[in-house]
Amino acid sequence: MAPWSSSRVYDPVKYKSDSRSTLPLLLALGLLPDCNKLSTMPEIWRLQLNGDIHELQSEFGKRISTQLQFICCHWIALLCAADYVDDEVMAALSHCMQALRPWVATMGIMGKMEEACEGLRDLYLWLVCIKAAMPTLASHSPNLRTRSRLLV
Amino acid sequence: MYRWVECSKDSLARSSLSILGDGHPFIPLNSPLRGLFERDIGRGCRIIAPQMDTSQAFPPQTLNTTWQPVRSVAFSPDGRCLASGHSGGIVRIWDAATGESLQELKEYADTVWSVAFSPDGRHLASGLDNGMVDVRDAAKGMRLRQLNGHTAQVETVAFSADGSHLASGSYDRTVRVWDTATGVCIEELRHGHDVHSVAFSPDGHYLASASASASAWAWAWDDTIHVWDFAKGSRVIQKRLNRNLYRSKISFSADGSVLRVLFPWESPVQLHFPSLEMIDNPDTSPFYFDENSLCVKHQGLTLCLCWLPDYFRPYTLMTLHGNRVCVGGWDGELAFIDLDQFALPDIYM
Repeated sequence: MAPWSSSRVYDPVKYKSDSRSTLPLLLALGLLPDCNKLSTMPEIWRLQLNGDIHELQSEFGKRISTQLQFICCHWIALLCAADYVDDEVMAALSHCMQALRPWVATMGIMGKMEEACEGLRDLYLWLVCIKAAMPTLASHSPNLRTRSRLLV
Repeated sequence: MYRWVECSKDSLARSSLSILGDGHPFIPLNSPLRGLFERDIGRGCRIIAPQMDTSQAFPPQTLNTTWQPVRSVAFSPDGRCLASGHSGGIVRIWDAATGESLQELKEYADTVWSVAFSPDGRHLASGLDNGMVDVRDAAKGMRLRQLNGHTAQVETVAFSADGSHLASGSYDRTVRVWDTATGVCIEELRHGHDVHSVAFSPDGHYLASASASASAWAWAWDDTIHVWDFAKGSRVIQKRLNRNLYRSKISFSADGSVLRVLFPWESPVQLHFPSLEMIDNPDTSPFYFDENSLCVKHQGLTLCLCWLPDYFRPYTLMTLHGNRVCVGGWDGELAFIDLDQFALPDIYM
């Protein structure tokens, strides 16, 4: 069964009884916007090939910690594997959408573009399934519909 | 966003930070991403192809399946039209602003290797694989002249600045100069190898040509730029370049003092004219395509201004009119890039 299967549903009761299980996911989603630090790199680098920028890896390391690099690689799998999601997760996810482009850049610099593409596809499919499984959530998160369209 | 990134993942693997700028403007017209990144992306950039529905979300699925690689492209002098020569002997004329196909002309040939508008935009010359040069009325598509003389494919055609002469270069190792009024060949200039490009100097006194050996061996390259005194019909100077001139394109600067040589997938070189001495480390080079990115050399740096989607395989040298660039693709599509829509560093022109 796919990790984004609709059997994993929004369950406020479970959330209240054991909120600790969403903590790693919330932590990951909370840190992901730090990828925006890549925008402080020199603008001319946006026009250059990775291989032509000698300081790229060192400057990348200064801005993107090892922990954040790990999160970049695994946050979508963590999200898709979650037993349930709640408004807090969805709010954090919504906040992450503006960091998607820096996240793609981060994955590219790490040499993981294939994984980034697969992740975006999984994220889109997950959003579609979760939206179908949680009509009430859609009313709580009016941007959800737009967000899933953006991911196509 | 998945499809956007999927279409550009090879480019993003090479230039990852480009996604933070405006270097990937080829987002489908009706995509919600356009609203999200409205400030960041170039809105004048698009890819068109015969019979393509540009409103559809995903251009690769809508490309024409007749598979006629584009072999040559040329803007009309006023920039309103673009002509493209295709395999299959097709010449198409497009509205450069809207991407609408205005005319589709069938030549009696398998491939149209080169196209060029006359300086007044009224005539369109096509170099064909059967050695013919066709001159048509650009507005009506009517064939006006068929210039017969070459014995192999005509790789390049160019009008003089006053439109009185047309030069054609061929794999028969000659350049022929034609009187456009009478269709008579008034000059035949012999080369040692296939001729890939010709250009008249702005004052019309000189004709430059580029010839390249067909040898696949790098050590056997014999690639030479020739300059001819057009009035006397004599060669003034020739210079071997340590570069492969196969499918190259030469052009003069507006004042005629610089000869630019554009290569497929390599950075261009600039030569002083008429000495043909190489200009070392020019501050800024002309635009060129490196694989599927539009590049420029600036102070020793290679800057990739705009990335075409990974599926687009450029198959012609680019043509430029003002700040609008066009390049033809292997699958018959054309990419237009409007440089005015980019927030470029202030290094151009």
